Amino acid sequence: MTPEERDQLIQRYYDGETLGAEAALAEKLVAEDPEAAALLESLQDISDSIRVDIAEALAREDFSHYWDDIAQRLPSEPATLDDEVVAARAPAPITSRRKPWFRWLFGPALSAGALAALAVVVMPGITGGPDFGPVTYAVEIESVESDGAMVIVTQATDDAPAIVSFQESWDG
Amino acid sequence: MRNGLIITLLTLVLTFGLGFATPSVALAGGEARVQVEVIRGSKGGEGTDEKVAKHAGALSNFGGYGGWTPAGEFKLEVKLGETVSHQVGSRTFQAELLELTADRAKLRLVVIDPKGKPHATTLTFGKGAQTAIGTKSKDASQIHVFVVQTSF
Repeated sequence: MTPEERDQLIQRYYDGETLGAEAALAEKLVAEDPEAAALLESLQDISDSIRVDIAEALAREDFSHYWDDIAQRLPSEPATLDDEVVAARAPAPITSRRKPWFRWLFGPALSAGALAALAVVVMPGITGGPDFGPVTYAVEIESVESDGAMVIVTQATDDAPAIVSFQESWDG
Repeated sequence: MRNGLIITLLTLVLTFGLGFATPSVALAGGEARVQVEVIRGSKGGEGTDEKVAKHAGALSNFGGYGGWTPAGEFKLEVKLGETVSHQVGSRTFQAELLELTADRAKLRLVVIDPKGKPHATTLTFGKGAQTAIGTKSKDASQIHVFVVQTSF
């Protein structure tokens, strides 16, 4: 076993990584080889010194202001998980993708709307427009204008139409 | 699918039914229609063409004239405030829609004689009302009667 192999074995032994025969060999070396024993003792001393240093450092450190320092770095009014915050940040509820029951009316309704609009425009042409219907004589003559020699005006009655008769002013 | 078809058919029936039953829809634009029949007569003439016989009552108001024959027929669509014209031989017939309500239409009707002289009258028509405007020639040998019926 070379010195390097010996030191590595002692190191692993100190770290608790040896088992069985390897651990027994390491213990034998420490017992019989002064260098191996010195190496193990140095490793333990280093470890103890580190542990002492940490303990001393912890003993010297003042932790009383740590929380104050952390508190100063936090927002003055941190968000909390109260009902409003939860409601505001909650994902939108999944709405139903079911189509409304009256959806099937849309097609006919659109068709009917288009036809109604068409009817308003076209219907007078189809029906002949405003129906002249039965004849009445409900006409009132309000004024007559003519340069002719004679004008005859007869107002309507229930049974006879209003008559306006002009005399034209030309020879023909 | 079947329901949609039924609704469509019912809507069609309803739509066209309303359309036929409510001619007032055509009044939305403020328009009246004027139907004119022109009948020519002569002094001392006799008889009446069967095509104008339906106006015998109105024609009887022009005493001394007869031999009534059709001289033209036309329809005019007059919008409120507008004037429309139609040529009848050497005469011009004009109609101006002055006022229009649900049951009255006031029109100014003008016959312009062959010499360009206007002979006008302003009339208020009820629905479907008819009147007759006669224009005698200067020598009174002929007469043109404009039988006017309005609808709106």
